[in-house]
Amino acid sequence: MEQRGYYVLAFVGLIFLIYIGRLFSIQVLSEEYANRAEGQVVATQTVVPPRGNIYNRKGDIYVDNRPIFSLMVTPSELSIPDTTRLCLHLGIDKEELDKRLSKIFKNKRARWQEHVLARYLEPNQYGALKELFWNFSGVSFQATNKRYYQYPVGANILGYIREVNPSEIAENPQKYHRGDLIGNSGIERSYDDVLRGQQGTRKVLKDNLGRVVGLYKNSSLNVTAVRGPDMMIGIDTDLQALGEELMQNKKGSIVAIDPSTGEILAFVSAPVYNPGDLTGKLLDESYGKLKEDPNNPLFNRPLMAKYPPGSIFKVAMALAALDAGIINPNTYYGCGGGFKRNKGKPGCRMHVSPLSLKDAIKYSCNSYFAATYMDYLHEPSYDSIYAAYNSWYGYMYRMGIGHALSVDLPYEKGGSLPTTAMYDDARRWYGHNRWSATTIISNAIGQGEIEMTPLQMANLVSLVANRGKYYPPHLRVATRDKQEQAWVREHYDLIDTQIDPEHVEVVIDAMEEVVQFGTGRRAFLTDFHVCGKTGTVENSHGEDHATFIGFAPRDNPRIAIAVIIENAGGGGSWAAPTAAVLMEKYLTGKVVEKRGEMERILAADFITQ
Amino acid sequence: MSWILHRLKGDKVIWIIAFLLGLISILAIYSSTSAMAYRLAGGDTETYVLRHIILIVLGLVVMFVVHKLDYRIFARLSNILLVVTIPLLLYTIVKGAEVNDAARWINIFGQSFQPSDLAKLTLLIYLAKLLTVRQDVIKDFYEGFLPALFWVSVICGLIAPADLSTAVLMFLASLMVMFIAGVDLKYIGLLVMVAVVGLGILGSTAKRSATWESRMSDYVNRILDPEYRPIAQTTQSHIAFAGAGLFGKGAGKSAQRNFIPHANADFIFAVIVEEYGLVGAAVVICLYLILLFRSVSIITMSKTFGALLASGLAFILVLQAMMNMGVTVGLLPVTGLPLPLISWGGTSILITSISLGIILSVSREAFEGSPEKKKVTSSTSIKRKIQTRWANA
Repeated sequence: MEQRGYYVLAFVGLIFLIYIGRLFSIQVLSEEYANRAEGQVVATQTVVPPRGNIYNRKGDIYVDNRPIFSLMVTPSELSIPDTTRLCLHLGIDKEELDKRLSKIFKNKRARWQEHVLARYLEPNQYGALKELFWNFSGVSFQATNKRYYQYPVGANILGYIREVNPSEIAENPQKYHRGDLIGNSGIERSYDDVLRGQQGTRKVLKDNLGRVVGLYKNSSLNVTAVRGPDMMIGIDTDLQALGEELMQNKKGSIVAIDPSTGEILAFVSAPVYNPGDLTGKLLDESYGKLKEDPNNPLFNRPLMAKYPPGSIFKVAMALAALDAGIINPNTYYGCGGGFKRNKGKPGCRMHVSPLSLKDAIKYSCNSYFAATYMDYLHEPSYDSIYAAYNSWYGYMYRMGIGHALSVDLPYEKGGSLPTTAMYDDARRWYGHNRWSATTIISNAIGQGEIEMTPLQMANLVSLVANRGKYYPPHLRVATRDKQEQAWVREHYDLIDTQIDPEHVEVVIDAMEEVVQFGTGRRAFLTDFHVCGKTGTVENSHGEDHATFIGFAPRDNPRIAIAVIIENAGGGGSWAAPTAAVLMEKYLTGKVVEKRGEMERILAADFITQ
Repeated sequence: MSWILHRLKGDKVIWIIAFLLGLISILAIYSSTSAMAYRLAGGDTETYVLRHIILIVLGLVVMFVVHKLDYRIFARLSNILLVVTIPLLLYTIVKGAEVNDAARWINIFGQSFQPSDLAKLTLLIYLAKLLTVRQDVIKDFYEGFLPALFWVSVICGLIAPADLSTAVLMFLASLMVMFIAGVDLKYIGLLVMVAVVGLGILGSTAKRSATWESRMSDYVNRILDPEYRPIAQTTQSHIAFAGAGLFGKGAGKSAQRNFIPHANADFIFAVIVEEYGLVGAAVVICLYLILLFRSVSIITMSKTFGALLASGLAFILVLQAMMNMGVTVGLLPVTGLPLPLISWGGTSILITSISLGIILSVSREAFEGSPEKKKVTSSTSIKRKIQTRWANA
């Protein structure tokens, strides 16, 4: 019995010996755990640099950063002698304070660490609280930045900043950490990688309770944060502001482009909201309100709204047909209040007949362009209607229709331009060889299956102004070089539609007459040769949408503009004068000639009427 | 003081070990309890430490009282204990309060109490008695082995669904007692096989099998896959070891106590290692080993019952320490066993104290001789033996 007892003892002793060996191996041999043992005391804090500023085309600061404060509390040291005044300054009631505190106190493990009690305190609140805190303990402030808008316009261009969400962190854990800020929509998003700069790190020593007690290795291992570089965008903030003002009580878009560079001068999405509403503590509340607004202000219309282009599409039709040799400036077609070759469809208004291309554009004759389209598709030099259609499609595509223009804003839509494959789809459309020119004749006047975004419309008129070539529309003009503190201009490639400038000139002639004698008379400016084309987009849901595309001056154009006002009726009466006001403003710096129009437009309301 | 010292009978070494373990316990609890103190008493660590000190002192008092008793009482008590324990275990299974998802606890007069702790005592006392009574037929399968197997199976089986680790512990201790008592090795081997099969059946049916599964798979992964990251408790205690070094960070300097779950109970050994280093760990391990050594030594000096009782109780105590440490050093799957006499917890301390008291009582008698039948021959020979032993020690 005794002997067996010692066997047991030996057995247990052996196992304990193994334990000691195991402990020894963990201690001495396993570097990983040793590092982690150190990791518990050396903490790496992230240093977030301020985002880069944004400048307007004149070189003025458009968007910069202002400090904003978070009130932090450390539960283990917390003493609040005056809750009433604390609540007062924070703008919350006692109940809310208790709720927040008890939530913080619930986390038992982290009683020695700082927790956020109130976010996004304004500098004045910060000042008041700082004074109040002389006899408080366990409270501190953490400064962060929020965006400040020197010009409170262009919310849809700029986008806003928010905290990264968990799925973004999961997607890119190297880049994003909890609490990081990220640009959401607008150029804040498309250039987030540039503007955010490079986060730095700071190594601090923490005691076993998680309190910061000092710097680690004298900050020698710290990584300096690099501020995001400044960026200049082509927006003319004055023009943008006027555009937004003109669009008050209206839904729609204005896109203005400098045709010689492709820089976007104004990019209005109405209804408009103040970009400052989506900063700091306003963000959640304002965002909810905007989201629920039936007029959908968060919808970036110039970028994402797709409209049938209507009569302004005749500009593109004319260019394609001229260049393809289907018509020439002296081609005449008859019009008897409708397109006779297709049982009077589409219909047309009364005007001289037969008429030339110039008059057809001037009077916006539907029959003329229906005939042109039919002749295009029946042109014998093409093997079939398919070849003819593809030729036409190619022109449209090169003019930036039917595909996104790769503007430097997120979520751009490409509109739609039907392909032969689409019409060949028997299930949803017609089927192979089961469609003809008459089936798709509405395309000729911009009412069929064609849809364009306001940006595409502006790009169309911009390429007309630039005689058949265009720079892709863009916002970023230049980025500030870190070392030299000088603006480095971005380079964009000129895109050639391969349309003969001679043909473009014909269309420009007609567009000038539109403004001088035709439907676009309200866009007329005495000192500048304004060229344009009005449009009225049929809207099955209500009043028609008014559209206008135009540019000025005729020679060396400086501004090309597209205006769409939803439910405003004819393009001539509202969209054209709106464009004219903005062109005058941009070209002369003030609104004098069109002041009357401006006041008339400002007073108009196409939402509540 | 000298009055008490004068009255401390039995193996002085065991007494010293009990005192030392109690002292280590108080230090470790003081250090590791801060997290729990904050959780429950708003940072009042002293309340908890005071409670613990009282419990330790109470444990020593219980040890003192028990060691004064004639351990044979327990042989007589064993039937009653069995009658009390088995219904308690049944009751626990049916109505036990869910603590940590395990129905291990019941409330008695407002105190939560773990019947499996009582069952440890009951089983080992009963087993010692049974094996003593059947000492003559111990090699026989039906007369010697089966009755022992029956009771071990019943009690371990009742505990296993809610508290597998304790059941395994008791089973192992019982095996050792049977081994010492002279049960044939091949029967013990058979028993181990039966137990493995039984565990398999239990594991696939019991309510807690999800917990077991995760613990077991964690364990298996840890053994097989060098890249595997063990579950939080084990990782955190490894970090504690790594930061400790040979002599540790010093008393009260544990950083990991805030990160290790149950730092004052199941994982207290990690705190001890972190604060007192490899040396501290070795000291604690040695204390348990010496305890085992002294208890095994008693075997030679005692009657069968006393020997089996003392060694059985020592086995279970040291085995439990072994399993607890094995978990902490990451060699065994995570169980919920406290470190005897060191971990936080009233029942555990009380039962451990009773066990030590009984061991001391056996040793006291071995030194003093049986109070009832003083067989001169054997008694003198034992005394001589002890004296030579002490002289040698």
